[in-house]
Amino acid sequence: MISLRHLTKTYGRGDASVTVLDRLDFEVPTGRIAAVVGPSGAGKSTLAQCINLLERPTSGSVVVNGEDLSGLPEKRLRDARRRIGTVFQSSSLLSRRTAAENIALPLDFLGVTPQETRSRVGELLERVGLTDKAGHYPFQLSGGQAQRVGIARALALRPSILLADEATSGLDPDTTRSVVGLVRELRDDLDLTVVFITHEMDTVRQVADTVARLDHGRIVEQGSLVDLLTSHGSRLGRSLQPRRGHAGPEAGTRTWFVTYDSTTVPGDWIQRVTADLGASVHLLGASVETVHGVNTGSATLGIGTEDDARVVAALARCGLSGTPDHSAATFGQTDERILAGALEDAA
Amino acid sequence: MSAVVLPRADVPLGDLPALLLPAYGETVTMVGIVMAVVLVIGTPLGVLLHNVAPGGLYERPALHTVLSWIISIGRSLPFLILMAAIVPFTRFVTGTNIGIAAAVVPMSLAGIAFFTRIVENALRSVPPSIIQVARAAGGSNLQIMRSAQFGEAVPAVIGGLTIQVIAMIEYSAIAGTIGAGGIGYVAVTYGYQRFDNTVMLATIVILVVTVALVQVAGDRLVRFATPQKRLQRA
Ligand SMILES: Nc1ncnc2c1ncn2[C@@H]1O[C@H](COP(=O)(O)OP(=O)(O)O)[C@@H](O)[C@H]1O
Ligand SMILES: [Mg+2]
Repeated sequence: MISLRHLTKTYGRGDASVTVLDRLDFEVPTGRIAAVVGPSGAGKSTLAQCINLLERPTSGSVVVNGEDLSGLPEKRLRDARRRIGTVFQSSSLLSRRTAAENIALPLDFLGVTPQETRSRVGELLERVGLTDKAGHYPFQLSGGQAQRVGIARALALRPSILLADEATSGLDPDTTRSVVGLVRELRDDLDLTVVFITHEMDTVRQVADTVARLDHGRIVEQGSLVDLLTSHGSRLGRSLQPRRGHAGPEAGTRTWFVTYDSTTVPGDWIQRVTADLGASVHLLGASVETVHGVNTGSATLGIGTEDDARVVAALARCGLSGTPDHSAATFGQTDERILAGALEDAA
Repeated sequence: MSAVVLPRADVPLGDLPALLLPAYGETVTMVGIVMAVVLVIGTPLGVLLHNVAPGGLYERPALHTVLSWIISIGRSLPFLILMAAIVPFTRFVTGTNIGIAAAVVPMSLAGIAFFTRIVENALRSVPPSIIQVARAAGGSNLQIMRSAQFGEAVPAVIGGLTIQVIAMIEYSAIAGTIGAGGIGYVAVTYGYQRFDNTVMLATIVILVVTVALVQVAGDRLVRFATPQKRLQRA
């Protein structure tokens, strides 16, 4: 369990000072994976460094498993850090140490006996599926393998907290999926509390139980991933939806943007809506996926009726929420601001 | 010394080894002693300089500025002038201002300044993220300096060490001109003052070969210390 209270971090002093975290409150329950998202420069890395105390907060408290770490003297801080495993970007392996030696780094620092180190490193290599790569140097590892070594190293001292800052940034989608899969698996097996910082929304949908958006030094919005993905009222939820290009509408149809707005959208909703409206429904683009067993997604439709109210009602009966896209409309003019706002938010 | 102009008479080839071998031994001794002093003092000084700099493990900007200036002054004086300027100090330390002992003092001072910069520069090339990794892994500052900073910088330090040894051979030759002994002394007294071309040529060949060998050895060590270079057959 991680609990941040009124966490403030200011760099510099006087006129030149920058407040990166501003009385931030944040909580991650034990065994949860909390994704933290936010634009570049929002303070995500600063947040990570305050949690593992590589940076001391200017004020506020960092409570990990009931212990307030923010006030500890430097020596005790090192012990506290050992209870938090940190995974960095993939390039952070020591280049002159083998995979096994990299994993052993925290054990070396702690002064663990060589035999104990060897057996623990063996366990960890097996855990991350790299037993055959023990003697490989970082330059001999792929990005995904290097990141698995980084994860094994973070877990060497059996921490209860795992902190990942842009751990999958720069990896290709398949590798990201496998690294994320490993993180979830480890969480399940070791009951880890995970803070997963990333700017990639696709990764968030794969890894997170809860999502928090950091902006201007505060957590401005948070919630469970499924709730966010199925409630289109949320700006964070909308930005989590993948946006892909879609085909243009055909003559006599109006373009609608539809999101899954409940956890019970039926699989055959297009047929149902078509039957309900008695009008043609063209699928122009869609992105649908199952997140934690719940169907989520969005679609762009071309619907052959001008009766907006009936369309909204028909969609709602299937657990969907829809807004007409007027910029692309082939007839009529309606409220353009709704969709423009939605697109802007998502960007 | 230079007032007496001897008649031109080259040393016979057969006598060259008797003349050059002891001189070579003196050069090796001088460079060896200096390198030992330089390594022992310059390495920690370089690590210190790097870590009191802004962003280092013990940020002390004022101390960094002072240290950096002292080293820059040491680095900026031409060796011949440094050697002359510190004669009183040399005499105080060694009791003499001639011979190997006297040469070692200015060479060590210049060498320490040189090597401190080499170590600082090598450590600076280690990405900050590596230091963060070591801190997050629970390392003490000493452990971080040893494993992360120095450990990662070893090839760069060895590369710098090669440059350093070669510079010290050159310094020893300069020191030779003021009577420190060694190959430089032979080159000056026989080759330059007596126009003995045989000796001059022999000393040049010896210096060129020595420097080339040091460079080859250094390159091999760098290769050995860098896994990627060691394991990849080019
Ligand atoms: N050591 C530092 N000194 C001064 N400013 C910093 C320091 N570290 C980060 N910042 C500033 O804090 C802000 C947030 O940085 P960071 O936490 O790295 O953001 P993110 O990881 O979300 O991209 C940036 O504006 C950055 O310039
Ligand atoms: Mg960052």
